[in-house]
Amino acid sequence: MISLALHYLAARKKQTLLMLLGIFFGTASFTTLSGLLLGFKDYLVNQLVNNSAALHVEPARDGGFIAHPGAWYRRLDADPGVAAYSPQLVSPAILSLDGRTASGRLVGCDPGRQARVTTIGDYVVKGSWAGLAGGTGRLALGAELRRTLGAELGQKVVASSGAGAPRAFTVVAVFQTGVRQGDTQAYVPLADARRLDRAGGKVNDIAVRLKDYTRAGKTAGAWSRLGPERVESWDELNPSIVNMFKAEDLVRFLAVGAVMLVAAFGIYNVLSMTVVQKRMDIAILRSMGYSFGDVLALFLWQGLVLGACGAALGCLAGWGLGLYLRTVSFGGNPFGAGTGRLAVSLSPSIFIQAALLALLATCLATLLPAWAAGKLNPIEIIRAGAE
Amino acid sequence: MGLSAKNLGKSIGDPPARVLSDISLDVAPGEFVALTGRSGSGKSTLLHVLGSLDPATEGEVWVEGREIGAMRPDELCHFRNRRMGFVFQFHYLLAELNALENVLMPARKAGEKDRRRPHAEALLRRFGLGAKVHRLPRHLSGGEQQRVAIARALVMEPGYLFADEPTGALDSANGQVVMDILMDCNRRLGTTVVLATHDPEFASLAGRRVHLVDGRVKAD
Ligand SMILES: Nc1ncnc2c1ncn2[C@@H]1O[C@H](COP(=O)(O)OP(=O)(O)OP(=O)(O)O)[C@@H](O)[C@H]1O
Ligand SMILES: [Mg+2]
Repeated sequence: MISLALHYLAARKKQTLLMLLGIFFGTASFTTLSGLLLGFKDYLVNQLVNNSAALHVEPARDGGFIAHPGAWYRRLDADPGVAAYSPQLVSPAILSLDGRTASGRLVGCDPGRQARVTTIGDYVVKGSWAGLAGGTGRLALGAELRRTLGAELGQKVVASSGAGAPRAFTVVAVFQTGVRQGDTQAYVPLADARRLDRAGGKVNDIAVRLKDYTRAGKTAGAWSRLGPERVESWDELNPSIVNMFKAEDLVRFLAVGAVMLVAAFGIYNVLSMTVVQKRMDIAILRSMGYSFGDVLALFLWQGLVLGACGAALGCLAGWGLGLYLRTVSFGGNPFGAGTGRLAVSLSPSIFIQAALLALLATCLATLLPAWAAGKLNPIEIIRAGAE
Repeated sequence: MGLSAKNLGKSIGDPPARVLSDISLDVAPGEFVALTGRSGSGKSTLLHVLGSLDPATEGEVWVEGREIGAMRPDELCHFRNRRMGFVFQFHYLLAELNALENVLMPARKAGEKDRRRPHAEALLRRFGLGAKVHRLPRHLSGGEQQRVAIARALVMEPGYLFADEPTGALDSANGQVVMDILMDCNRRLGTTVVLATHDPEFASLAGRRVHLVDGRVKAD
């Protein structure tokens, strides 16, 4: 029955095209919208999880230090769920260069450990992260701070923080994460930070990278029962963003649901009309011995062909559009990735979802007219045709 | 064997209107039967019931030793596909398919499209359509369309051919061509033909006439 179904579709090019366009636009808009929203989500999660780690172990009270860091290190070393961790000494700092000053956060850390816990190394736009590890008196500067200070690689920036005397640091790297909070930070080796802060062997933050970041919430809950320290997961720190993702998913499916509904309704209308127009064909097919199932298949195939073609073309268009959107520059806009480009997800699951949705919509839209066609009584049509 | 109706009755519509009453009829294999009668006498209805397209409300129809009413839907489809051919007043050709493809539609259902192709082409040639096998129905004349429809009814070499006023929409010359084909088919292939017509001239060509009046057999 496929070939006859194709003949039917080919015979009514305009309607076929319209039905195809409906499915096409439904699928294309679903993939593009999903690509944008999921790309944005990936980007944000990446920012949140990888820029500042999935979990943070923090002092029991603000401004304090972690009471027994050694115990935590042993615990983290032993935990199979932990990918890496990096003790940090974080403090507010004033940076100055040639009379220009900027305030930001100074993060003291082991550069090697830090690079294993966060993706900070990927965001270096000038110099190299590895340069930070080469000795003392070196500093990696966030792009915002660099702009305010007008600092260049190799220049000496004076930092003052907490109780210690101001010290000069050579800029060995500049990084740009695309998020203001991240770009107003500066990293220095842990030892330097301690000297600056007169903090001895203390730390006030342990950034932890988990093998599976989705387990962050559960892990945080378990760990916070172990000691006085607070353990916070990335999603606890950003509850509004997690809620936003849920809202986004809803919006995505509602918007696409509406498009698909319109497309499905179009198919339903056209095929219902076709069934009426082709009553004679159906009657004569039945008189030749074609069964209810054959006639049902004749119309189901039409829908299936439309759905499959529309979905394939829509996915292709969505994919192409996604690739194009990836090249669109968005400057420092938060929608842009660190590279200043739009983050668009082209994950296969989006296309599988889109294709399944399109096929489901067409099948549902086709089933009713096809069933009606199969149920037509051939003799009534022939009797009516003779009158 | 052959075709037989036993105390056939048929009501149509809601409320039911009696169309056929107490019809008993035996048609031997190879017979050519004309159903005659005035308009509204029940010729078409009887033809449909005998041809298994329309179920009887009373009585039984037996074809080749099997009762049609007792067949499962799939058996009926198979039986119709293999053993029955229908020609109606209107040709009911599929507009999207050319003449040859239309003729092959029953063979396609049977899964014998390729095997029956030479036969289909031979039928069309015999009906004077050898040069037009690839034409769409709308590019054929009314008479040619009806001949394609007859070829379609014959492509499976059915035992029974049911024709309901196949000449009704044609002029007398084309009508005569169609009648010649039906008689030729009956004589040479031994196909049992049941023809409903109100044309006494064509009816007189048949070996046997069954005259209906108000849904009853008045003369046989
Ligand atoms: N849907 C229907 N509901 C009620 N009665 C119907 C219906 N269809 C047909 N009839 C009646 O059935 C009777 C027989 O109709 P049928 O078509 O068999 O007659 P016919 O002999 O073939 O007539 P014609 O020569 O005009 O084709 C007619 O009296 C007609 O009015
Ligand atoms: Mg009639």
